Amino acid sequence: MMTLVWIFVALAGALGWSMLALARGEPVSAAWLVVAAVGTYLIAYRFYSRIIADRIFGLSNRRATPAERLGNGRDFVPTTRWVLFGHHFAAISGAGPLIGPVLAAQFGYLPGTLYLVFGVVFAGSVQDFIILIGSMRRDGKSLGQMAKEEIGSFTGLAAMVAILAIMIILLAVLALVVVNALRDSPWGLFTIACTIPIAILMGFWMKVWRPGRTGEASVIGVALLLLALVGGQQVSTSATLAPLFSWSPVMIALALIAYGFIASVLPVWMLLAPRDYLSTFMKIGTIFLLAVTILIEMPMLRLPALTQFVDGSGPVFAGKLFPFAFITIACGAISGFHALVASGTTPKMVRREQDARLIGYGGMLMESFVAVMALCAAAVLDPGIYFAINVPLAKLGGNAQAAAETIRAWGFVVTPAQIEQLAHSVGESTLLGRTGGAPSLAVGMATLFSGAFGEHLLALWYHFAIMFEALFILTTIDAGTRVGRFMLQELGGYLWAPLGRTSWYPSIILTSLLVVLGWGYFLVQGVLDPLGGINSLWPLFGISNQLLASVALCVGTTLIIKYHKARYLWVTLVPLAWLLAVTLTASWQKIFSPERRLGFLADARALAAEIGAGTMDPARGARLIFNDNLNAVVASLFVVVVLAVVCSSVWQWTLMLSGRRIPTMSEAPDVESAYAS
Amino acid sequence: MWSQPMRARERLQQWLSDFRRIAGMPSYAEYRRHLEQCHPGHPVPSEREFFDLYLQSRYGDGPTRCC
Repeated sequence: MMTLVWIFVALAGALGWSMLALARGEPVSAAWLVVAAVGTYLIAYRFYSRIIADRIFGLSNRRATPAERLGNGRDFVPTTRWVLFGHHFAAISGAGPLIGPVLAAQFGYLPGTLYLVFGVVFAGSVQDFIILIGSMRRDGKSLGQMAKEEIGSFTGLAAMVAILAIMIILLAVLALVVVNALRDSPWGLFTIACTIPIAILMGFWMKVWRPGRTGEASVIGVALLLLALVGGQQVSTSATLAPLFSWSPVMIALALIAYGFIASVLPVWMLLAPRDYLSTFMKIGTIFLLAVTILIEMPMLRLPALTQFVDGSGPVFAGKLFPFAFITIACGAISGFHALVASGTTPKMVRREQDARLIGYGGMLMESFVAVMALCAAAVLDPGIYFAINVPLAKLGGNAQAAAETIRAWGFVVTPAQIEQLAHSVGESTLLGRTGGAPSLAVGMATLFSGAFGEHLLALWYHFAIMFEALFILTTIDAGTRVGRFMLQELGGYLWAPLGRTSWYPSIILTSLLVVLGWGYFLVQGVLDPLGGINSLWPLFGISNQLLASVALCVGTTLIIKYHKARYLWVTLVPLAWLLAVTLTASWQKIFSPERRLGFLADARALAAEIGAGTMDPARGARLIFNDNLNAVVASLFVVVVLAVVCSSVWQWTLMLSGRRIPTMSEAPDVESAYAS
Repeated sequence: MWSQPMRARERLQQWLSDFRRIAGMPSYAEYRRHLEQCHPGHPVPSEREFFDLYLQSRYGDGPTRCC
């Protein structure tokens, strides 16, 4: 009976893929994309994840998990698997899997879909799952500690430096996405600004007035948030209030930097924890809504399967399909960051060892599914509208007329009236050149939602989607700045012991300042970049995130060897080789490509020539050249750190596989579980 | 006669508690139950003290959120 069900799932998946493959030129329903993806996920979960769980690691419910052995009712809590699945998913999903696929849609919907689905099955889920197993069997140790204990202390230190550097770039690019979504948008800015007092009110509620009552605080918070969303419309139409909330990109950037600093210094209960709850509720609710809407509406994908931009001439970001589609997709297929969560709170809550398969492997499949839905939301847009929103203003021409002509030259039909009408109907002065992915995703989501729940609410849904994205990007900025601060304090503690005291105020202020100035610099650089910043920062982020995934896969490979399962090494080595091929090619091209749009050094040379010819202001040109060189240095730094990790790992693997070193593990003891059955 | 509504109420409480756990919220009731079961005689912190302990273990170190 079960065999029949699985044959049916396999056939459905195959049918989905063939419908996508056979649709040449004519629009195809998003339903086929969903069927193909879900069919593949189910097959991979049923068969592939079992190989990892049973044959490699031998997960056994008879072995007690840290949650059971060390249970303390706070962080070590045995949690039923579907609840923990939800918790883990809420922790790993963020803005990345929503934005990456939207940007990568410039190549058409097919490359993104293929990589999201097959990338997650063979790389992303494998990484999350193996790191979760490793950490679960080591009482919830972090990725950095595992790298140090299982590979070597040099590797551990390199991994830590890599994580810090990646955090800086990540925060900068996410902040840039928010800046682009909120610039000159009184409605959006008002709503997001309101989240700060709302969070503080919630914080006081659950800490001071009604200690521990997080549920009450959250209900109040969500209600006020929705009120702020509706209130934003009044603000945007008011002659006195609208100008107060129409900020330039630079002003928003500076405000975000100040906010990040304050949030990192303030106690957790005042801002971070309440905001965390708010964004989790919005995230789960909205993703559920999006899934339901796509299933009800089954919209047609209007974006072509492939566009002519696979040759590298794409206006959203520079570079050819290989490697840049894979760099841009980022978190939905594989994300090194997940290794940090899979080795953080989640392993301390797993109730039975075999539950880890649903939580680690399944949680990441769910993340990929969210990314597929984001891709659908971008692909239901008119291609002309998609490019009008996502291409930097400098490239489109300053107004709707010029933009429509530019886009028509690329072969997509859009009229100036269409562009202006859309901006008007979502309550914005303009949507032209709102790069970063969030606004076009919001338009796509608003189109889907209003199609299902009433056309007249388009503007409200658009701002709902913007609020939803900005809300959890700001949560990431809070949490990320704080984590960056902790890491810097730990590293600083090696130099001068008092710096390492995490509750010593001078150290808190100094390290917080260093972290916000770090990402703040890249943010301002992105805002002032004539090409819009996303073009240079998003690839850097994609590269860094996947290089972190390479570090995680190195740890995973080491674990497989130590469990004496060398014949399954391909499980981690294949995705590792792929990631290294993609990221090293991309880094090389970002640094050395002779094409100005792509290569940092080529752009610096071109700017120098412009200054020489007198067509560029020398002071501005010098600053842009400095930024190009800085970006090139950052990209090289990532590559050097990761190559160091990979080389030292390979050296250890050779020693162990050739028998010159006896593999030893620092695993927690194997204790009989009371949950076994 | 009482059993049906009680069960519905228990189920609702279970859902609420699951939802809170998904969002990463603390549960004082479960913490008390844990202390009573595993460490009988151990002084039970007040809800306020428990909330501080929880915040420290959840946000004290390491990332809790992704990109």
